Amino acid sequence: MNDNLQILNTKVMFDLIGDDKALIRKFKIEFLQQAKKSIKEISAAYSENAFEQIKKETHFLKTSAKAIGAEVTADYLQQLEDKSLLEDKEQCKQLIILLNHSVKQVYGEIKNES
Amino acid sequence: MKAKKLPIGSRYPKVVLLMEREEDTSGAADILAAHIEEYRTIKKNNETIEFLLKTEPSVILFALGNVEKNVEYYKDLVEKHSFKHLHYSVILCNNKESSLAFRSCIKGLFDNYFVFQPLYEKLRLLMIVQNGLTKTQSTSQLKAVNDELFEKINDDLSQLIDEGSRCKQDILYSFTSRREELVQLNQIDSSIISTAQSDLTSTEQIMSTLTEEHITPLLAHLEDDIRAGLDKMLAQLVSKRAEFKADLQTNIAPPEEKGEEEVNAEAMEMKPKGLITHVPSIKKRPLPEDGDELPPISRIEKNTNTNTFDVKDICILIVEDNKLYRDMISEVLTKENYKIEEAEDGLCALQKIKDKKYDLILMDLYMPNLDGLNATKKIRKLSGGQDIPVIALTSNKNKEIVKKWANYGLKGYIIKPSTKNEITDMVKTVLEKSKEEENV
Repeated sequence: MNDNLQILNTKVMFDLIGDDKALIRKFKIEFLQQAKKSIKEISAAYSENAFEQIKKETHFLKTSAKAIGAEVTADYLQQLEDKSLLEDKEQCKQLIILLNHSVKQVYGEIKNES
Repeated sequence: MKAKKLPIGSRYPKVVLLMEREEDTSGAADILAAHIEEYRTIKKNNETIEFLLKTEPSVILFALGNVEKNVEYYKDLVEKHSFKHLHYSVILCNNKESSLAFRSCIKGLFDNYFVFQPLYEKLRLLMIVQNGLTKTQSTSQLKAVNDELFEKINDDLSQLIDEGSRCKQDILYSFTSRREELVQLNQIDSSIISTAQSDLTSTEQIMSTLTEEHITPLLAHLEDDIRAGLDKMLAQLVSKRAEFKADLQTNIAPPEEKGEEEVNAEAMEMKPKGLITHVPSIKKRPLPEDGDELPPISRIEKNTNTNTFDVKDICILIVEDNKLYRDMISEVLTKENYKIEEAEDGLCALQKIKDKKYDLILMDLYMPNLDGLNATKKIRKLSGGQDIPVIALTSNKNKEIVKKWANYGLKGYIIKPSTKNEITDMVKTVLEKSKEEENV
């Protein structure tokens, strides 16, 4: 993982939305809700060895992660997307754990901002 | 890779397995030796580092007992012995240490890992080595192309600087010549004045005549010289820049994407039509090892002309399955006073387009039910659908598909997530062009 990636790069949202703090916060919370749902879907797909489904779900969530500046999360999602294509179950498992942890860190950052 | 008899050992092997105990690695070593021509097994000793520095193998597999020893040795090799040439490192480990090996790869120390005790996945080992060879080879080629290109750019710039200096010298020479002429004129002036005084003509009238007939034309001449010189230099710079851009686009050919899912698309037979303009994401990441960034294309110039359309009359359809991102784009464009409608996939978009005319469509690529590429194909078949401009919303990795998509009249693409200014500029430019084409 690139050490320059941030848990939550606030500049990304600022550059996309502007300085509407309320709106930015709304989108960040939406992302957390979306991420929670997606990680559940990904875990379920993992337990069923449904690698195609893992790939679709990670690709979907990656768009949101990039859009709100959750760079570490986006990076893990990219890696998970790649590993799911290779059907590497062991690595997928590790990446799902890391992904879950990174989303919790994003939550922590958002909570600290309030 | 072909199956071969065990060779004696290549002098400059491309693939090296570094081990401590032969009995540990005999299985893996046999497989590698049987399939890879330029392969060698090396037992760790005092001469190993010197050997690696000399031979610079493309792929190195580390099997030095346990993960900790491998990590220490490799770190030592890179940091103390400046082992910096392009290579692909693989750590071999037993099953118990697989998570540790995984973490060392995640942290960026090794490029990959493989469980060789017990040895189950022989083909996977070969796949890893093959990937390593491919990566190092393609990165070397890219580096060579870049070096050549930069050298050419350097030569071009030097030539430009020389021409600039010559231009400057010419201008300075012009100044000097004109100054000398003015000095001569002043000398003539004095004699004319004294004669004129005797003729009782006013000094002011004489100066006025001199100014009109001599000084002003000389200054105008000088100004023309300067303008011509600078214009010439600017024109050369512009043409050099255009050549440079063309070189970059043809020479930096991105390597193939690994494992990217092909969109369910038919073979393309039509020739590309229409120009594509590109808006890159503001985050410029450094070139990753596998070189899968889109080629740097200059940003579109901001449209400073007044709109040929009223924004309030424009209706844009955003087709994107990710609601969060769709809402963001919608928000950005709504603030610009565009009318926005949304669709969550290509199928939904088609139904909307059948019922209503849109001035512009922003279309994601990967969507359920009907993806962006196929949706665009179907839109072009609808009556009135041929001319609707489409801008692709895509990630950095989809460039090959975007090129295919261009055959269906793609007018531009936006790399997700992009910025507000880049999105609005792209939309404005595409709409302007579209309206101009309508008026023609």
